[in-house]
Amino acid sequence: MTEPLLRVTNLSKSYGALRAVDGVTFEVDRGETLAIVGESGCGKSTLARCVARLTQPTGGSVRLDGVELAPLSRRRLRPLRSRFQLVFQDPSTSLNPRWTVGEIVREPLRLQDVRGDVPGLLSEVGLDPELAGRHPHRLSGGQRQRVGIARALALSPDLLVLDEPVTALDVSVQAQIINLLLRLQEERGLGYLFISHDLAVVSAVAHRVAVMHAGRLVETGPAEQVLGRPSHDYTRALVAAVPGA
Amino acid sequence: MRPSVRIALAGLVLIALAVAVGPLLLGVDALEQDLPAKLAPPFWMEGALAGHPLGTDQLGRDLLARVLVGGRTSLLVGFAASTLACAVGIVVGLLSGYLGGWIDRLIMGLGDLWIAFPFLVLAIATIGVVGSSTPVLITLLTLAGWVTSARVTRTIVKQVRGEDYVAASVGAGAGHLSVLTRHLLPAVAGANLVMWTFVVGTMVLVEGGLSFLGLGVRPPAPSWGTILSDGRELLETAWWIPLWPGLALTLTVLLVNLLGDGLRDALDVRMDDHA
Amino acid sequence: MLEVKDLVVTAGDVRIVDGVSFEVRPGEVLGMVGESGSGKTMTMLAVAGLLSGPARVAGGTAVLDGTELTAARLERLRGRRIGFVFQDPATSLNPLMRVGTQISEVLRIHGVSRSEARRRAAELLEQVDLGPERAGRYPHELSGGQRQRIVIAMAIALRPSLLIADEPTTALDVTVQEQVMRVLRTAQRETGAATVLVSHDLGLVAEAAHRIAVMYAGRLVETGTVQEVLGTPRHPYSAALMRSRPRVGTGRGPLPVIPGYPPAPKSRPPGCAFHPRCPVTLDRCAKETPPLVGGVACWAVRDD
Repeated sequence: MTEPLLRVTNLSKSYGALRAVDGVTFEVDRGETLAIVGESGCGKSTLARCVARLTQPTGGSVRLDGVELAPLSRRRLRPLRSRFQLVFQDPSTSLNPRWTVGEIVREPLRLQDVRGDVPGLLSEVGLDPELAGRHPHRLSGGQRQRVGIARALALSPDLLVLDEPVTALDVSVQAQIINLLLRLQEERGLGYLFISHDLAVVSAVAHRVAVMHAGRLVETGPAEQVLGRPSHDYTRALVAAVPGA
Repeated sequence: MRPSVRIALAGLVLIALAVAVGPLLLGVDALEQDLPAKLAPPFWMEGALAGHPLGTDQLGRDLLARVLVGGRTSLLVGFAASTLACAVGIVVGLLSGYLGGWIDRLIMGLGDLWIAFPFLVLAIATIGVVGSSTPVLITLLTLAGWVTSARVTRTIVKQVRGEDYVAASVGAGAGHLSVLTRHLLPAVAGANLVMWTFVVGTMVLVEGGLSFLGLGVRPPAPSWGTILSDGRELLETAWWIPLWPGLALTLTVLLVNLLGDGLRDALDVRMDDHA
Repeated sequence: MLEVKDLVVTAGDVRIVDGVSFEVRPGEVLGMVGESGSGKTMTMLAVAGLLSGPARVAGGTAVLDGTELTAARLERLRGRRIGFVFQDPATSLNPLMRVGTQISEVLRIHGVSRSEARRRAAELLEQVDLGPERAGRYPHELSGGQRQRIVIAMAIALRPSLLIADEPTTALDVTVQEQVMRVLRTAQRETGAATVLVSHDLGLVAEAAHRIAVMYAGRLVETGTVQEVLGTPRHPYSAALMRSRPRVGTGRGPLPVIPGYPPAPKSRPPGCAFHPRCPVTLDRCAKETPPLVGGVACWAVRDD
């Protein structure tokens, strides 16, 4: 049996007595999207940050291509970071307002000391390379999120952790970004860990869905099954609460 | 550049030039006493003496020369102390805000204690032991001034450190130094630049105050504060002695504050103008 | 009944809202939908006289039950005849005041006696599904959904004839949203207020509104009943918006998208502002702005 791209086993993160993430286990394969759904405060963003190692998990294992990441120090982790990158919810706070688009997309290349094609990256996410000289506040919300995605792709990662990547966007722009993410996944064979509270969005992108509640995964399975025939009470409540579904 | 910033900059450059080059061009020794010429009034008054356009003090020293030479000390102390205070404040504030936890609490606690401690007592004690000199004054004023800058820096760092673009940077492999120098330092630079201009004004005034109290530079070497102090007993008869350093002090502080106001408005770019 | 006619809001040279007309009858809920920068929030802020910064009303009228809403009158009418529910309940409430006191304060300002106000506050809490014992709580002791229900109680305290709810559930969790919307609709039915529900969420509007007004680039592009606009949208923008919306159960795959981005108010294209993104463009679309006729503002639809 081959090793999946990402294997998370019994992952936990506690803040004092609060167990924000409580023994979570899942896998993500190449070219596959696993969506983690749940309401705010359920621990899904903490989970994203643990997997992306912006915060150190308190227990469990995170294996990327068989390489254990959880216990690694910040320094040891650094060269491995190009394998997994993060896309954030709010493109207005995830881009340094003092930098130009070009500087923002180039930052990961500079940090890892590798060459890269910034205009190429911008075109790949559907942005005019001319925009490289602009500051983020002169872009629309959708353009900013494309910049965030270009930055995440700069190091040619295998895994993208996407934390509510379309939540802050308008409906017509949401669809564009969703389609962009689907295209990039197909072209690059990316694995996606897609964090969202929006079941409609999840239904458009996810192969598999895991439902998170109070720090634990209560239900995991293929998207059609979890969203169409939910077996856990909490999942049923979530699906029933979607307006206009 | 806004007109107010331009005026302030031009005015300050003029003052700096006058203070630096003026005494050389004037060719009058600021320390030379000429008792027969003592207490000469400024040029527009009866009894004014040729060669002493702004008048003389009680020892017959030329006031124009003294104000120009005194400005060297006052401005040097003022600008050096405020620059050092802001630099120390930035470093301490960056570390405190970035490291957080007990280090942050310790540093900020010390800062509070430091602010609560009467500066004058420290100044009197220090000068009483090591004597007064320009470096001692600069050090004292730096010690007195760093806390404000440190607090402002720390507040900004606390906020910016939590922004997603810093997380993105860490996620791409940025180390502590890179985050500090590339993201946090530029974020606090603007606020500190503005604050620096205000601190300059305060420092020039505090130096004047210390000298006025006899804690500043030693006579006969002048500073704006010591000239003011010298003139205080003669205020009723020779009011022009404190007038000139007082005017110089006021003008400098005014210009520096004008510069600060202008910079604050210029740097206050609305980052989130997504209308 | 609220009647808005040819409302224009400008900021400097920019026309943020550009000639908007609509009506809301008593007891009716109008869902005002549109993307960011479409002017939907500005329209309602202008009606309520709550514009701030450089924005100001540059034309048009708003009439509530026969009274024109002028700046001077609005001062008195806000709170009494017009109630508000904003997106973030945390900023609508005073953090230092017990919520019961805040509700009775609204009544006290408008001349209700202290004991009567307290009694009414308890009733209002009941009305928004909160027990009277919550009156003694401070806002931070309540959840986001409970706070928003307090805001609703305050908004309906004086039985307003106009209720404006601007993205009332956007800041809340899905499961909480449902309850807050239920409370809002009950409150609206009981007071019989003409209600404008401003939202970017088509699904939410579909469930809560009777009629829908779709805004794009500062103008109304389509109005009609929920069934009409959501079921058989006529304006190409509304139609494309419905199609591009992800839905639970449609399965994984690309969505039909509207190319481009909604224009910023200062760079709206001439003619019909939607024409650069529109799949059906006629020559006149780029030159003349189509008026809203028969509930739709589109040259292509009118020529049918």
